[in-house]
Amino acid sequence: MKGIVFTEFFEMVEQTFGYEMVDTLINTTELESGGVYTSIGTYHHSEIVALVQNLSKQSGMDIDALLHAFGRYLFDTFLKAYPIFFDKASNSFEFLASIDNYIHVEVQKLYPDATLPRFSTQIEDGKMIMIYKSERSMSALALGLIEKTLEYYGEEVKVSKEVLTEDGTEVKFVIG
Amino acid sequence: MEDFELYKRRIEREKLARKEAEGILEKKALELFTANERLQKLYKTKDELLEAISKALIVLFREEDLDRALRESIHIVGSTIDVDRFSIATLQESENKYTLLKNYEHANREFKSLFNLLKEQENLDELFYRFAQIFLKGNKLVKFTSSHKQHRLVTRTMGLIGLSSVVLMPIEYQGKIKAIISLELLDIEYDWSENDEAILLAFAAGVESVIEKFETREKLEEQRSFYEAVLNSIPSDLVVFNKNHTYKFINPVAIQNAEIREWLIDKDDFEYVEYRNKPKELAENRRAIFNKVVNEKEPLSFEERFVNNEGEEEWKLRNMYPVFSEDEQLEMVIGYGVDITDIKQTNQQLLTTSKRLSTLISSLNSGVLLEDKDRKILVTNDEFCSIFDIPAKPEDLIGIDCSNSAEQSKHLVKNPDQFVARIDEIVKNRRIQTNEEIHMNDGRTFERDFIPIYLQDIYLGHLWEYRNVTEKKAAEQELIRAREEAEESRRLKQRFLANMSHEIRTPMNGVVGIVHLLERTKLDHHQKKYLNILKDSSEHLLHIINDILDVSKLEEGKLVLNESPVQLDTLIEGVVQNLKSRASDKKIKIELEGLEIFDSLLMTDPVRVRQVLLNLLSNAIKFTHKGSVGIRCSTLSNDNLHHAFRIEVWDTGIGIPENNMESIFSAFDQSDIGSANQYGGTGLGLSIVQELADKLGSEISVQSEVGKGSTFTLQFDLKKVEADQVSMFKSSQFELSGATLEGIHILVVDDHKVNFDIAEEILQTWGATVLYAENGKKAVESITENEVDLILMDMQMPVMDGIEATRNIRQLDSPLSDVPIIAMTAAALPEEREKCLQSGMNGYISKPYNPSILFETIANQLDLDAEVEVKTDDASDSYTNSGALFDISYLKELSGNNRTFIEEMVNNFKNEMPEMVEEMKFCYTQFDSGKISAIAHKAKSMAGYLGAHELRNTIVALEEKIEQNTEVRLLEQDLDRIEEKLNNVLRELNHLYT
Repeated sequence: MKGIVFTEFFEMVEQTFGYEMVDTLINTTELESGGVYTSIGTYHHSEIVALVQNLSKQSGMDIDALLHAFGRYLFDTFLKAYPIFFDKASNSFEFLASIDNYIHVEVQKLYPDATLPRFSTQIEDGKMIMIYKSERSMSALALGLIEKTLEYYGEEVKVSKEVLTEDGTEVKFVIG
Repeated sequence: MEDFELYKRRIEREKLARKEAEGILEKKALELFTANERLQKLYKTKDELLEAISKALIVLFREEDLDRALRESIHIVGSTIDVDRFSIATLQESENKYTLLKNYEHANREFKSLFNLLKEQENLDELFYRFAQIFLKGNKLVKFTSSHKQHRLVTRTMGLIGLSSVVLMPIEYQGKIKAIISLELLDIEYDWSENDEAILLAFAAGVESVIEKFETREKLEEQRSFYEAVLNSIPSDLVVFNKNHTYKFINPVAIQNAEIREWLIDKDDFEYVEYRNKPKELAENRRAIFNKVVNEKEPLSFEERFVNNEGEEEWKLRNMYPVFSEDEQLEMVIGYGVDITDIKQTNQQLLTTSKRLSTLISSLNSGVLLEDKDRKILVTNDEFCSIFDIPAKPEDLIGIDCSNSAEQSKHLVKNPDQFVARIDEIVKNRRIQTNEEIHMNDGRTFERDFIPIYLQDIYLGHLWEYRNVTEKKAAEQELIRAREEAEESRRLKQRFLANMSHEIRTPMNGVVGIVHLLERTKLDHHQKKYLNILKDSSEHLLHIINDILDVSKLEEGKLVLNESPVQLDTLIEGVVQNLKSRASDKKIKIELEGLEIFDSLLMTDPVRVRQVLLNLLSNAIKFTHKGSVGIRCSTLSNDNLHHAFRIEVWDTGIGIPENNMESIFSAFDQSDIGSANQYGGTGLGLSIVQELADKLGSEISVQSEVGKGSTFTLQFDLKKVEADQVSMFKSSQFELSGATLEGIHILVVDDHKVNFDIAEEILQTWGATVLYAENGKKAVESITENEVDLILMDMQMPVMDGIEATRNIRQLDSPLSDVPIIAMTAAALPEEREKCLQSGMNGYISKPYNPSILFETIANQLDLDAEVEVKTDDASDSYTNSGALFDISYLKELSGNNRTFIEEMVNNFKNEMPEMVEEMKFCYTQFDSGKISAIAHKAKSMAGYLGAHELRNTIVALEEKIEQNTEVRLLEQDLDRIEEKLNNVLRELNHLYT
């Protein structure tokens, strides 16, 4: 997993809970990296899972709620780092459809070793059906990102989430 | 302080992360550099080779002399391509035998010719014949490498010369081999691409044609068709233009279709693009280049992009060569093209690497600039542009020369000249530099890193990183300030507590003392009751003050244990005895179990053990309303050296709720707020108990159930003391035969309580009533309120010193003004004594003093019989030592060898001297020499009592320096010396028992 996810995660934790929480997480989570992350590094994805789980334990917040908040937070980071992707689409459906077809293709080119979630999309009756597929079961994070995308394009649209597999590796979002 | 630790960890993590990031950047930059180098090398090789071969072809086509044509063309190509020898051997064939005609070579290094060596070993004609057989089978090029053994003789001969690669190319005409071109490489194996080979083959074709030209010189009419045959065999694009840019000749590689080739002759590119439906720009571009080449009379190369039938992208690098006649008239233009798709692919790789790096860099949040060794920009990012106010996009800066960039940006930084000079220096040194601070005019602060990038000692370029640390620096400053403030306030708190303790304890002693005195007077029922309340309250208050003092000492780490052999059963009995009345008041029984386990003396600090047990047991009583409390002792292990045991203090009281179990040991915490109101106390007790237990090497734990009671368990593992190691003080009565001060009221004025304690101890044995005043002002007040027969007056005191007090007293009304005053001072100077007498004092005793002298002096003043004799006991004592560091014989004499008194004095010394030295050191940092002098004065007498002469001398030396107005900053050495001496004494004192 890209280092920027970790650095942004800690940034969010610090903003929300203070650096003491960051310190606690690093000190009490078993991390191969020793809790040292740089935005340009690559780390094992199990570390973010462990960190989120521990944060849930420390803060008493639900893991999904944390991932959701993190997704919303991460959107701003993405927007700042890759404005071009957002400029290319004129509305949220266009943008969401471009994730799988274009953005992740470009990301994969740059980072051939990256494991990216799949987002297949189709439009039915003016609604977008988006199927999230990832071994990492982080659809709550995706939800946060989707919500912020809709806000970014100034669209007041509802998002519903339906878990297709018990382990959360496949999730259906209905947007619209 | 916690904040500071956290911050330190954070900084450490950030440092590590940065280091990691730098490692990654360095690696990525290296990839980029490598790709860039490779691309440049590819371009250079192709460009140069193409140019050389074109030139060689022209020479071959135009030269009238075959010998010269071959020699020159071999030289042109040989000096360009990266081989060790480039040569042509011309051959003559007759009757299936080949003989070597001539060898033309260009050698970049000197070594024996392969052909010559082969000739020595085998019939070369035979060998050439065999080569010819290979070539005539259609092989255009034969490669021999040392790792691939195609021909045993050749490979063996190569081994003799040390050749790694040999490439042979035949020049063939009408089924005969006319010549062989050879490339020889000594150290590396030939690994050029197909393109390189094609270029060389083209050259070979050129040579072939020229050889034929000379062979068929007579048949000139055949020449044109011959040329065509030759040029058609060149495996690359080759065209010849007429002066007006129409096509004169096109080879099949350039255009496959023969019909189109035919059609295109004498037509130009505009007609061609229209015919082939290609973009008009192609023709326009070629025309422009043709015109340029012709006008400037210089060859030119340019790139063209095509999409082939498979839809794949192909790139061509083309050369246009103008050929002029001797009178400088344009004859023709040769157009030559090679495929550079591989270059373009490398370039694509470079772009990807570069893009990957820029993506990484853009997520770094710091300004990054990557330069190659010539200081040309390879990659940079938005942040960098914004820091240095560069109005361009990072991608547009690629390739720009940076050598002058510092100069252009210097107006933005605070020290412009230094900034420029430093950058030049760093670039010149090519050594890693980190965390250099750059201060900008707009108030921002950056940290700069410079990372040179090397590949196996070859310098490729370097990386700059600028991090905005403005906020970090501000936070750091803030934190440092906060820490200083916190430390200052802690110091103040400590000093305040220390002062308070003395300030409060002194009057409290007065209160308690008076209460005791009152108790002895006749009181009615009510007065007795009030007095009891007064007694309880004052004792309680004293207890609280002591608690606070202990906490502050523990927090400061200043609490030093005074270990001595202890009979624990006696100690515990004493504790129980102490609290018995309180327990019986509440009708609670105190039960004692297991005291018999203590079979020998154990080393520990009895005062602190007692304090812990008193605290726990009094708590137990406090929180128990009915039932009983108790102490239970049990052995865990017991051998010759150690005794490990458990002491449980239990009660049947209210118990502690589970959620409070963790916090009961914290300071200022009682198990609930209500209990503070109900049960009183400072809330410090258990915190002190835990800290003390910790100090004593004991572990404390608690078990409790609400409503059922609590049990506090202490676990000890103490060292045993052998009986013969123990030297017990024998208590003896100090006797001064015939001496009595019965009925005499003596006022002791001294700001140092210890001095008073000593005086009181001695004076009381003589039956005197002793009063105390801590300074001159109090002394004056005291004599107006109390009956005083004589004053023992210290000289140096705060508020009002001894001299001023004496003057004031002498000015009072008689008889108060007539009271005899004896000066007691540690100042041993004669003029000091003179000063005392002048101020109206009656006598003088220097501290430390001998009791007999004290008695004599007092008796003298009061006209008493002074015939006294001092008797002391010859008791052995454990403080006996060499006397070098300290000598307590004086204390023994003073107290009549009273063990408790000596112990108390030694303990006082151990507790207070280090504090005094600390305080002097603190005053030193504040440049307060007056304060240092005042403390030194007290310390001096304390050292004197203990007979610590060396220590005392160092203190006297310090005092003298201050007296001589020595600058405060020069006192540090003296303070260090005092501390050193003190530590020696303390070590020796502690050593005596262990």
